[in-house]
Amino acid sequence: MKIFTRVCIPVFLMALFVATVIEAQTNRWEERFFKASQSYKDDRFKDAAKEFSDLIQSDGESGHLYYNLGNAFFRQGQIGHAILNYERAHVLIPRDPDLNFNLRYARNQVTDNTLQPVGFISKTFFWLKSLNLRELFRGFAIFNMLLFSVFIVRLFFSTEWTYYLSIALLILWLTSGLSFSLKWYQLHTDNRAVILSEETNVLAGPDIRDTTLFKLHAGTIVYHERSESGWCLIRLPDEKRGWIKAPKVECIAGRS
Amino acid sequence: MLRSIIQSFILLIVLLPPVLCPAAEDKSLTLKLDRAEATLVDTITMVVSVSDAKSGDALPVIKGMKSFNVTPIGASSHFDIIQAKGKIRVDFTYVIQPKKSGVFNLGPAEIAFQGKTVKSNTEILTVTGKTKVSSMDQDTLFLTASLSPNKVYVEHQSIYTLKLFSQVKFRAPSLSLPQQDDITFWQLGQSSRYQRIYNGQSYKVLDIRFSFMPSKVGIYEVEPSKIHLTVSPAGNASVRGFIHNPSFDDPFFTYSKGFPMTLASKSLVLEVLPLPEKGRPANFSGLVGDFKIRSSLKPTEIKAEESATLTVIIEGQGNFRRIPDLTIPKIEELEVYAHEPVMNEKTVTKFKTASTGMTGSKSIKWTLIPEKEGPYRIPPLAVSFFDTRNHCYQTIKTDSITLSARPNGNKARPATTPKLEQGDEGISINSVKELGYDILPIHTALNDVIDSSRFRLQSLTPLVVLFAPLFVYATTFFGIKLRSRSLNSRAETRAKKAALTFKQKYNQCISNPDNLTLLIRDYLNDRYGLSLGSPTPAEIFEILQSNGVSTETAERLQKLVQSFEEAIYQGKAERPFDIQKDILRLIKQIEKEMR
Repeated sequence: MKIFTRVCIPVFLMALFVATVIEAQTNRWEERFFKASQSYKDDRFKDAAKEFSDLIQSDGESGHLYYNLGNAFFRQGQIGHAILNYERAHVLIPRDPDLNFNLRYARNQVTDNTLQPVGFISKTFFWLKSLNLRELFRGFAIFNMLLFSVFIVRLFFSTEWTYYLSIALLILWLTSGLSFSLKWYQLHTDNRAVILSEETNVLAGPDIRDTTLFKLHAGTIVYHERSESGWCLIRLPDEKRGWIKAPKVECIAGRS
Repeated sequence: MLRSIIQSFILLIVLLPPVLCPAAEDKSLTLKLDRAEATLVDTITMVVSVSDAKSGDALPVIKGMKSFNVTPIGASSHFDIIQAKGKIRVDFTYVIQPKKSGVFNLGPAEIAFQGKTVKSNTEILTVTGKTKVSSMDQDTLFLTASLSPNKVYVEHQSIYTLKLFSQVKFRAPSLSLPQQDDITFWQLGQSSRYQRIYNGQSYKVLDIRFSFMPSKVGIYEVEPSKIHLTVSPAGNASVRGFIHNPSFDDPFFTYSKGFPMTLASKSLVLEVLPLPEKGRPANFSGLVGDFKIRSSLKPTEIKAEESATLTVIIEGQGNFRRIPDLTIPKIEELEVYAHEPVMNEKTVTKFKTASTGMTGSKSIKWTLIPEKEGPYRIPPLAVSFFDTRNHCYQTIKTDSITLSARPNGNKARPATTPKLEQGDEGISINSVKELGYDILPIHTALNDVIDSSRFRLQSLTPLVVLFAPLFVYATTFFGIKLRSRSLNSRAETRAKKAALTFKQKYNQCISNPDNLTLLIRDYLNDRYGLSLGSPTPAEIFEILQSNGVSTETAERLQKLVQSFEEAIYQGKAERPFDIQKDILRLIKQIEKEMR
């Protein structure tokens, strides 16, 4: 009895303490989120943007937080930052109708008309753009579990229907696995970037004295090839290339 | 005669030694600059001379050039006679442009020769930060800048004109405008090129114009603009006249890439005056320039509850981005829907650039829907701006417009079930008209925010979820395999030990026919994995034969078992049989034949 009270009571108290701390932290996060939402509703968009950004940095990325941050930047007239955050949200919540509406609207405000090409993988696996990585993983995990369950059943009952069922599940397993892998690959090789400044010159080389090749405007999506000494080499979908100063462009996958 | 012999001898003594005893190879390097002082925009010519050069010599390496952009121009060779010996001297010419100001030690130049390093002298060059303005009187290439006007009001447009006068060909021009606070340049259209006579000489002129609007009052010094370009070689004559460097007078001289140059314009002074307080309207938005306003209503006559569009366009020259959004005052029984100024189609801010400056226009639209029949007078809409030509504030207004609404003939509801497209007011709607554009609001639901976090494969849960089914399947599969193998192996072991088990049991029990029959049955079950109850002699014969035992041996065991059965049924089962050796020998024989 003595041992029981000596061991269990401290453990119980410690568990209570940990639960209280977690609860407090959760409450603090909720408070900050509501504060940020309230700033937005009160038209204090700069404060709202800072608060949403702090939430993302401290507590992890979330599609809806990026969406809210994009809205806050849009209200400040910063199309570049708005599109950047909308695109980041699109990676996480690709089917959100509000996000898709706002992103489409923001893209219509962009001065430069650069069409993003649709690759072979995106055309063949057309569902990839509508599903995020978590959903694809869940689908793959479910088919994985079903497939091996049928295999286990076939160890004991090797019948015709289990054979055809295993073939069908194998095809689904392969498709979902391939989809997950392709999405993973797409996300980890995503080199798209967004122009942030209102107007920027794209130069022939990483030097302010180099020839200006063309101009780009806020919100234009480019491909980031490499960085060097505070300059970035970017490429447009029509294969035009040039250098711009690093602070004027930011990668969509920068935070991952 | 003697005299001529002596003269010849003396001549021989003088000329022969250089032939018989060639002078030791005496390679040397010298480094020369065309000047000792320069500015940041100057281009300095540096010549490294290698005496007694041979083909196959390495190129000289020059130290101390980190603060300079170095462009090799070419190499020229010269034939010198030194100490009655002919030697080839090669001059390597470079053009260097300083990156920063300071005092620099250029060189030494080094060349590797016969395992040794030959070094040149060093030269000191002083680079000052003061930008040297290109002289208009003598050069064949110079840059001018001008401001018009140079006295402006705040946010009043001034035109900054840069002109590049040239008599030589150049390429890759790169312009650096002054980087100053409160001044942002906008290029006006494309640059223009034309021919012009200046000081009696014909020049090709590249004309580039910019507009800028200073945002603060004061006196600004607009710093010089710079153009970096490369002068292309276009025939020796024009190049020599341009560069004035003795190196280029060499008939054997060759260019490699071109001659880089930096030209600077002069700095200019701009005076920015404040807008006068006198006469400033109360609703003045800061618009400065020269503007006009016009309006249109289409259509001017409509039926009640139909819509008309009122368009107001404000256009002109100046800071058109400050054109304010106008509002129509409330008019009774007239619904007014304003279009957002930032929209693409409804409200557009366009700007065109012209040689006299930037012009722009703002188009604002409203949809007007009268609720009843009757005339609706839209009052004039006004905008104030500061007229820079007349130096006073002006207010421009639209004309007063009247919208006439006729009675609407479709008021009564139809008797049949109305079509889906018709609204309660009885208005027939073909498609929904969009009256405004804006983004949707933020998401405030906590659960959504938490659920939409980024997926990470590196955490434990996804890996467990992925590999757990495989682990379970593998465990089940190998478990089944192991079990069946152990069952098989048990049967195999039993078969192998069948003869030994028979012998052991035979030694332990009384050898009467009953026991012996049971032993033989157990032996057959163990050996062949059977589960016989009481096999007949004929069955025993068949079993042995089907498992490879010879007919003779099988018959012998059959006869033995038969004799046991006879003994049992004849009541002699209790008596021991003296067949110990026979039966053991028989079993051994069976085992032998089975292998």
